[in-house]
Amino acid sequence: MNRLEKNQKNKKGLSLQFLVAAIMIMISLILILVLSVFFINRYVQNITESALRNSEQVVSQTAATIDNIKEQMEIRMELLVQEVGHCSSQEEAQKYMDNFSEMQQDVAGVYIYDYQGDILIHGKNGQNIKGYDIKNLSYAEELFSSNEKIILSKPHVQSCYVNYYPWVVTMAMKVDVDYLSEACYVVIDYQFSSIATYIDNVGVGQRGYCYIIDRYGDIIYHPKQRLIYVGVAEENMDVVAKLKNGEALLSTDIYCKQEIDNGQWNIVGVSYVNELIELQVKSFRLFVMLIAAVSIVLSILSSAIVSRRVSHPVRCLVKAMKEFERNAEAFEYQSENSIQEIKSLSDSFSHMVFMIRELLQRIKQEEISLRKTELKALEAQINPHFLYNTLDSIQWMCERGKAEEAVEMIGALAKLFRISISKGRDLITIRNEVQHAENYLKIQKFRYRDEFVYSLEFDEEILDYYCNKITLQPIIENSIYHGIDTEIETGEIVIRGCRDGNDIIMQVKDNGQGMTEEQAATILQKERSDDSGIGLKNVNDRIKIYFGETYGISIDSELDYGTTISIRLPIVRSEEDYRSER
Amino acid sequence: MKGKCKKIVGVLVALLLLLSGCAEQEGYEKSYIAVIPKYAHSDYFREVAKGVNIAAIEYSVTTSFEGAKNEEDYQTQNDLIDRAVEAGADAIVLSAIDYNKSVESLEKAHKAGVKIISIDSGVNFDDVYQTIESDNYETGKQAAEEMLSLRRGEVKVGIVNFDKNSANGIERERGFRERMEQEERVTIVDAINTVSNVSEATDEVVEMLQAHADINSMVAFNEFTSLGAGYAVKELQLGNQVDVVAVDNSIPSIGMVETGEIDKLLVQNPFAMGYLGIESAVNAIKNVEPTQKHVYTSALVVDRNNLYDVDSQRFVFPFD
Repeated sequence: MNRLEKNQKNKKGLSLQFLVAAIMIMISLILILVLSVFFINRYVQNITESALRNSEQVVSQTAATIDNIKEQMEIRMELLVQEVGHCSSQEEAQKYMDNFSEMQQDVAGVYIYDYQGDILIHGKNGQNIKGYDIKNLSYAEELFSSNEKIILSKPHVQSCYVNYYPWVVTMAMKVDVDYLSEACYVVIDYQFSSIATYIDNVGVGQRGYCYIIDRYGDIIYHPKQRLIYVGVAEENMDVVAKLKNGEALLSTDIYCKQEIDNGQWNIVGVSYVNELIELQVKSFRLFVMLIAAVSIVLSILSSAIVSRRVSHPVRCLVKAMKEFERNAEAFEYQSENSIQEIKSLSDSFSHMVFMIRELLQRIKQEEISLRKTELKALEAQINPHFLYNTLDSIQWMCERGKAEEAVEMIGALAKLFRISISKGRDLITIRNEVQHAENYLKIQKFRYRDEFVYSLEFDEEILDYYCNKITLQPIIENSIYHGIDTEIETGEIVIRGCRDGNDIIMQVKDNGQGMTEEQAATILQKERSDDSGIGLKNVNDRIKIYFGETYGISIDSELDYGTTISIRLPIVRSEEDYRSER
Repeated sequence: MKGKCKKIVGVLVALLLLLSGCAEQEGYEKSYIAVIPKYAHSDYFREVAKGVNIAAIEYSVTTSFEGAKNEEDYQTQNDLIDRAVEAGADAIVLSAIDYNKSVESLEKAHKAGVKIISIDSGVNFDDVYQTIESDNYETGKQAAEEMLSLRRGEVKVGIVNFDKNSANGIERERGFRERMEQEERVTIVDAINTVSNVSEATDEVVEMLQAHADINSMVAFNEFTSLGAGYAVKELQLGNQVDVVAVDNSIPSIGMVETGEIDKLLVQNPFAMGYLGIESAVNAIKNVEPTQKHVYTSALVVDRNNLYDVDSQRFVFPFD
């Protein structure tokens, strides 16, 4: 392949197969991408939504439970205070408190303090009060001096017993009893471990936990408070502070807050969604990629199938056309069974091929015919018999001393040949053609003398038009030899030419022996077998080739009466008209 | 061509269904982590258990917590390791009694694809995913510092350590000794290794104190040794003469801080170890690269003054 062909190949454009495959793959990829992005987003949204709901539920449930516990604590507190108030003596109160302490499992200690926080009475709980001066964590002055009806401390370690340090929350109420000199506090240390354990065991979502804060955002209890203290774990307190009651918030993780008891305590739930989401999204993404892969494979397969069905017949057609281009004559075309449109294309192509071949054949034939006739015309210019006879006549005239007649005959002969040749042109003026005929007739008249007479009648106007050369002469020759030669009577040849609409009619009429219908028919078909010049067929063929099928020779003859040969030609005003068309 | 296409499509669809089925299953099974402490019933390890539980709830994993009969019994620990592997544990969190003698069991576990996390006391095994412990060397050094701060003048030390083969004990003593070597006024008079039993430990310390009356400071490196030292001081009524620096978390030790037998208590963070142990195991199971091979938990120094600070409370006193 040289460079030109290579360039052409590149510029040919995309192959159909490639185009179909590419489009199908692109469409399915775009679809998959869009759908999967959409679904992943929805999915993530759903997971997040449900995680938020779950958080809210868990936190609200936890809050409710703890609220309940607190309420119970308060109820018992009030009951205790009531009872202690009803006691008439300190011993009675002591007994009651011992009982209370024993019966209530979650009470780590029950006391009556004085205003300085010293223990006046304490319920027996099987532990020993420390003998030495201790820091009693169950008493906090600022807390106890508040005006709240029931005082609740933050969780702390109970410090007043020997080797007994449970975590408690301290609840206290002021009381005024007769048997004690001053008003004081009834204090219960409730075990905090049950609340702590409950909080510890609250899991939120796939990964999460709860903790308790006060209204200022300080941690009351956190399952990981040991870690927070050393900085191993952190809590995002800013986010939590912004939360309103009952609200769930999603920043990077889900935070949810629920109030207890007017916000004295708040439950905060923390849940990590990202890992959960990531895990699900990862497996979803894998799934989607798999589908995408399968889809691509399917697209390729199906596009291959489709394009085969479409492009294969197209390619066959293309190949066939190329082959036809290369070698039109030897081409054989079989149309294949395929898609409707392609089939119709190939059928049309098939017809076209047929027609082109027919046309090619016809042109070839016409070319051959034309060459043949031209060849013949050329040959006719040097008709040996005619020449021989004429020269013979001239010789005879010269021998007889008829010089003038000889000169005339020689002149006519010269003019005849001059026009015959006509510098190789095919078309000459009708004037010249008539002269050619006249010269011929003159010469023949010399030979045949009184055997015939002739007349030429041509309209002035048509003389400047053009016609094929050597049109009249063969016809006249025909008339002389077949019409006159055999007759005894004087023959008469009339040659006429006139206009007929857009055509020209030239006629050669004789009163010779005429011919039968069969002869008339065949005379235009057969080639003259002898060398005696161009025949009528030749003239007819040339006219038809040059001007078309509607023109040419027609014969009207009656046996023994005569023949009229009519030549129909178109009006040709100049040589160029017909030359260019050819 | 058509038949071939159909076959290929069929195979692909089947593959698709299979994979989607697998993908579904992935997220739903909880991992199982076996925690093997030295001894499950000491206060210290009960705190470890608390940390383990909190982490287990937060990370949605199942755990087991079972230790040996005492803090010398490494054989039971090895049995527990083997049993955990058979039970299909995804990870083992181990506080090794013996630095060397559990390596074989651990190797078997590692080959079976079980992740190994070491807490509290290290083990001589390279394929441990992460080790979480108090910086034992630092603890020893810190104990030395505290001891030096208790008195001016000469310091005559008695060291009370536990099982010779425990890594953390070895490290703590090393840290202590190396710090003390820098001080001219310090003499290490005696060093004993006691068993993990309070009354026996107490007896051994009493013996040491009686043998070396010049000891004016003692350092004890774990719960049993600390309690032993404390009780011994109580018994011999040497509370005012002998400074005791102890490394422990137990309630009686705290009581002794209040009553004066123990002067400085280095409280560790077993809760953190338990929690971080599980967190580390979860990461190991997910094949996350560990950010550090060693994670150190810090200790808090507690004495009579700061014992009841709010934050100290949270750190020191366990929930029950």
